[in-house]
Amino acid sequence: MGILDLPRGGPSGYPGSRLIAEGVTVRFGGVSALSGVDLELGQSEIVGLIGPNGAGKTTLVNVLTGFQRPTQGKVELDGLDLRSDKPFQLAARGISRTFQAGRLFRRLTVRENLEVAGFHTGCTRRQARETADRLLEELDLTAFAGSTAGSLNYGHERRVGIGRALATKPKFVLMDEPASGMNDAECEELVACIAGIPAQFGCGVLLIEHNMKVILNACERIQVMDGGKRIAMGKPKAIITDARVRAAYFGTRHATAAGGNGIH
Amino acid sequence: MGYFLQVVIDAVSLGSLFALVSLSIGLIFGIMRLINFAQGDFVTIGAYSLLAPAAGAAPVLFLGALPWPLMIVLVLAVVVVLALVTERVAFRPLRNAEPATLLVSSFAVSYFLQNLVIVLYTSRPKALSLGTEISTVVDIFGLRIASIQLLTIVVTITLLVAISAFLRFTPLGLQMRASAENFRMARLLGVRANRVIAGAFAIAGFLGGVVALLLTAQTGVIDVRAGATLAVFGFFATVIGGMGSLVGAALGGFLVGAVSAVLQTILPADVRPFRDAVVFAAVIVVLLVRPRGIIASKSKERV
Repeated sequence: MGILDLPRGGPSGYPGSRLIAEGVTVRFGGVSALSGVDLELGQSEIVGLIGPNGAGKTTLVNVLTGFQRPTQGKVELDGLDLRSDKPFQLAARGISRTFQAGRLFRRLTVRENLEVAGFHTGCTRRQARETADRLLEELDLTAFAGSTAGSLNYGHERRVGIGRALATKPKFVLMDEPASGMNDAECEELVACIAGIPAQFGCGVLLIEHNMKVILNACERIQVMDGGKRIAMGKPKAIITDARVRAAYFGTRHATAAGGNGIH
Repeated sequence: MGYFLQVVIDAVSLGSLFALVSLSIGLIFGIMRLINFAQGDFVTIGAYSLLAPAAGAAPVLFLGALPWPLMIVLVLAVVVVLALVTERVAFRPLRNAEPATLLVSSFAVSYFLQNLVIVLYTSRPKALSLGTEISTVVDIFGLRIASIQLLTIVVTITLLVAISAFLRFTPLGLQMRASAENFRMARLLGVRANRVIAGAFAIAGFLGGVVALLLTAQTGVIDVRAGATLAVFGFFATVIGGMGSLVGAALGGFLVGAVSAVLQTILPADVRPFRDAVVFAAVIVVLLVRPRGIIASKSKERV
């Protein structure tokens, strides 16, 4: 258990808000999708969430974003229970999310996609537009501001999805496989983009991702799940050498992919 | 030529009413996947609010007795409030229910309102003339056009422009468009479901009130079944236009109006009473050719 090296209060030295899941259990009928999972995310860090298919990663994100009520356990933001919040309240508290499929509003323009996400703060159209334009510039998407979201290519669509999540002015963004379907060059751009989020936007990132290159390059901590349980948590270097993780996750199939990558 | 233009005017003014109804239905369907058949009864209630409850055939004026600016404002207010109350009582508790459940609830509201009218006013149609100023005929380029037809067209076009500006430029309008594409995603981004849905019902109520006034002024008769018939035509217009496309809904309204007006002209006199059957047959043909409507909505089903 050497890599479960975090004190219960979470990693020290990270200022700002904390999003905490504690002992979260989710049962569908008789099947446990999650059993007693903990997760902790600070406002200025990037945490990776990995595990084989069916490990419960998406269910955990669903719990954290109010899609799924936990059977047991609690979800707290700075000590505030989030379990009975409505979706718009979660957005107002600063929790945002991106999806595997971009789920953009395809008939709206790129700029409008970001504007919509800003209104919960009670701002005017003009203010929403200013925020949107600033974000588009920072994400290098200004050229597409007036295009219909449905006309974008895959990589840009993903980036707009991230921009839209950031337009809610979140404290935490939870990203579900942002790199899936991307080529190496696009992945590198994505890593650069994600790595800049905590400093640029004051926003913590939880990253679910199968692409180990992206995970290892972007994350400061990695949580590994298998069979609905947390099996490891720690720094990238410790994670890829952990025997349990290798057995459960990397297996023989992923060993080469993980071993071949540089660790930062 | 003159005769042709006359048919065009008929088509557009009839289509205007259908367009306003189909737009209301399309707006609410887009956001919450509810086909609100009670939209027609919103129109009916708006029309009856001009009258005081009475059993006799002679109309006893209620809102209809007021000076026209006040009358218009109050009729619109009555229907907007009715639409908002309906949403709160009949649809909000079913927010997470299947679309079919919502549909059943809308039929229940529809029959409730119709029977409420029958209890208060009896089912006998009532004659009511709304102001003599608009029952005149104006002469434009040798065409004799009823001013109520002209008024209907102008009001409808103004409202269509106003609504598209609202949807395009205001925060609530933008949130409605986003919700119409993916309500769940919109909510995750901080869009408040109650506000967006109430906004859609308020607009539907407003349009219902306008249709009530225009229809009453056009026909001079208030009938408990008029609204429900309108809802059926409006629903067809929405379907033809492509469920989920507001432009399509409005175009569908004009198209159904045009088909009705043209059929009224070209059908042999013996067949004319069955005009609606021919219109509905045309709807079936359109749907066989383009099952997703004229402007097929590209957005995928909501998850």
